[in-house]
Amino acid sequence: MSARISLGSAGAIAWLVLIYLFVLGPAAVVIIGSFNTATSFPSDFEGFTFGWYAQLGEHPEFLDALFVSIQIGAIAAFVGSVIGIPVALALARYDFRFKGMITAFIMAPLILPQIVLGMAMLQLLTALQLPATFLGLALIHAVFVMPYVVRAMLSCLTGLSPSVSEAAASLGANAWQRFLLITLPITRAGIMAGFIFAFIMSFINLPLSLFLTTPTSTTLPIRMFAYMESQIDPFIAAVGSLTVIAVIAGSFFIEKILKVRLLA
Amino acid sequence: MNWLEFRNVSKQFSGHLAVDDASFSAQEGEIICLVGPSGCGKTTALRMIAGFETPTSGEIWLGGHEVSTLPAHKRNIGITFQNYALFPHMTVAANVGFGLRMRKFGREESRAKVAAALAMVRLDGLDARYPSQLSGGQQQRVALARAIVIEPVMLLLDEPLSNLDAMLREEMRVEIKEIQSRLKITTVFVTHDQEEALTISDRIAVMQAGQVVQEGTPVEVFERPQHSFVASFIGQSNLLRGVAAAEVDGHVGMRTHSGIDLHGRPIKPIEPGTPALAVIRHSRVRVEKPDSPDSDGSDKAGPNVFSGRVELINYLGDSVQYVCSLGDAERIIATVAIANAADIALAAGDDVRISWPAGDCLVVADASMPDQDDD
Ligand SMILES: Nc1ncnc2c1ncn2[C@@H]1O[C@H](COP(=O)(O)OP(=O)(O)OP(=O)(O)O)[C@@H](O)[C@H]1O
Ligand SMILES: [Mg+2]
Repeated sequence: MSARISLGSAGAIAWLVLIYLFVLGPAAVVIIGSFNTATSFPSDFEGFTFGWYAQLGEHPEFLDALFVSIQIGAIAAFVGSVIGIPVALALARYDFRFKGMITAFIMAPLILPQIVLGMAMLQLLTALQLPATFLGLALIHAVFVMPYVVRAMLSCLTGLSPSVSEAAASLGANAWQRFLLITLPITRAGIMAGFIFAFIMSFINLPLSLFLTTPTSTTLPIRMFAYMESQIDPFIAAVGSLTVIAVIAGSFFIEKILKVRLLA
Repeated sequence: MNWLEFRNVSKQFSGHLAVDDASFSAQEGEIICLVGPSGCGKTTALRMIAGFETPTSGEIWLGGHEVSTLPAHKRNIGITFQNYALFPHMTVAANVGFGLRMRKFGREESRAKVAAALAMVRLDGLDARYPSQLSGGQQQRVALARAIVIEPVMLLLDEPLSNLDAMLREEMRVEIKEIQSRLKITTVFVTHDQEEALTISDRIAVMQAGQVVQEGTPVEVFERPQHSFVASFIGQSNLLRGVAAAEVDGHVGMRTHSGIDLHGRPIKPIEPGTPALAVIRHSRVRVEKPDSPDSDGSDKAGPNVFSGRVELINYLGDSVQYVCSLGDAERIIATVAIANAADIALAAGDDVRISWPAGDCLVVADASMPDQDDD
């Protein structure tokens, strides 16, 4: 195959390699550092070890944080899906007044600075006299990840003609049967992709959590952030590497197995 | 009593009247065609019968019941869509069996009915395929089988032939007609092809801009168009525009804008001086050499006899089309049946005598409308 690579495709490959280096390079540095026997990070590579990963066992607070993050991510992705899926269905199927405005409003969390969003949410909770709680944080994550669900779902629905569901209606299926037997199975990949994508976005989120964290709702990024305020060593690089690998695996699953295009 | 009654129905979409006070009806077991140009509201009318849209005003009656607001899934109507709309995640058998599943049929009974429906559309053996593995014609057949297997009270077909090639079209048309008459199922067939409408239907409703401008049997619509739009849309006709003149022994006179005087048969009384449209079918026009003897002894100098010139000859296999100029501005097409090419008696450039019987020249009031191609 290599013998047939033309100059043009060689250029394209070089370009791709460059992009990957640019995007994944920093992550690679972290991953390589996490296997380094040196005690500081970054530093020259002195020897190979799994030791920093083994240290995770001595830091139960990281495991707790991981557990919190997984729970919050799961709740956020679930609530985001429960709200986001019908929203996407409505946006795809119906034309209504102010549709553009409403769409922009629903998608706003995607582009609003998260610091601002976090501040606003904190204010909201205070105004409602709700204490910052584990559930509160999860719900705020849900608001933030919902647009990702909508987007994944919309990318699936654009190819689905409304007449498919109408055909089912003419054959005697009521609204609930149409949703369960037609829309849901056809958009299953989009729903799974939306859920995973939403989970990832919650899992790696720092700014929102910063405002609302409590001792019972310390997420992994918050824990890492706190740790890094005092020191940066290969141990934290190991923790970071694990999250990077998890996120890449999730994205790969969405794009290659579920075949849902998230970006583009 | 009429099985289907579409009574003065209108449908308004945000400021736009898609269906405008339209009425038509069909007897039990009949097949009625909604025919009209793209965008005239055919699909919208069909969607209201199916229950996907609610009329803004008017009533829809089905088998003696008013159904305008009954939800689609309670109407027991079979429908096929312009884009087939098969369930992509189900096999052919599951697609066809879906309606039976909703009706809680047992497995065995359901399987037998699906097999019978697939046999009827001549698709046996493809039960395990998915829609993406079928050709357009096969998908259309699955959609038809899926619609008829539930034994609906009414069948709605939205341009079922428009995505098929010419051969398959003909074949499917005959098949649909056969299935329809075998099941005696009242059917609304939507098409924009007037020839399709004439051949398949018991009744035709011609639509234009949301309105039903004429409803009747194919013969009525073809031979006695009540409206200039119908006259120009149905059949292949020459259209001459002008102004109506006084009546002369049973025929109405008319002068075209290009100054030609002709006689025709008015469908409805027409006031002298009003805009009029003369419609002469291609097949009713005679073209002959100017010196040829009269075969039927009609008056050579009588009305509707003109001299013109052959401009173009289109050989169509079993007929030949002479495109002739008449006067300075008019163009007249005559279609003549031929047994073989040797029967083509004229050549381009020949001076000819063009004539048509006054009885075959319809003169209708020219409702102001955009120019329609006289193809
Ligand atoms: N949901 C809708 N919202 C707004 N306008 C609509 C809607 N559906 C149809 N229309 C408009 O109503 C008119 C009639 O549409 P319809 O689909 O009934 O036409 P049609 O006769 O079936 O045309 P075609 O032969 O192209 O299928 C069109 O002008 C169309 O743009
Ligand atoms: Mg249509």
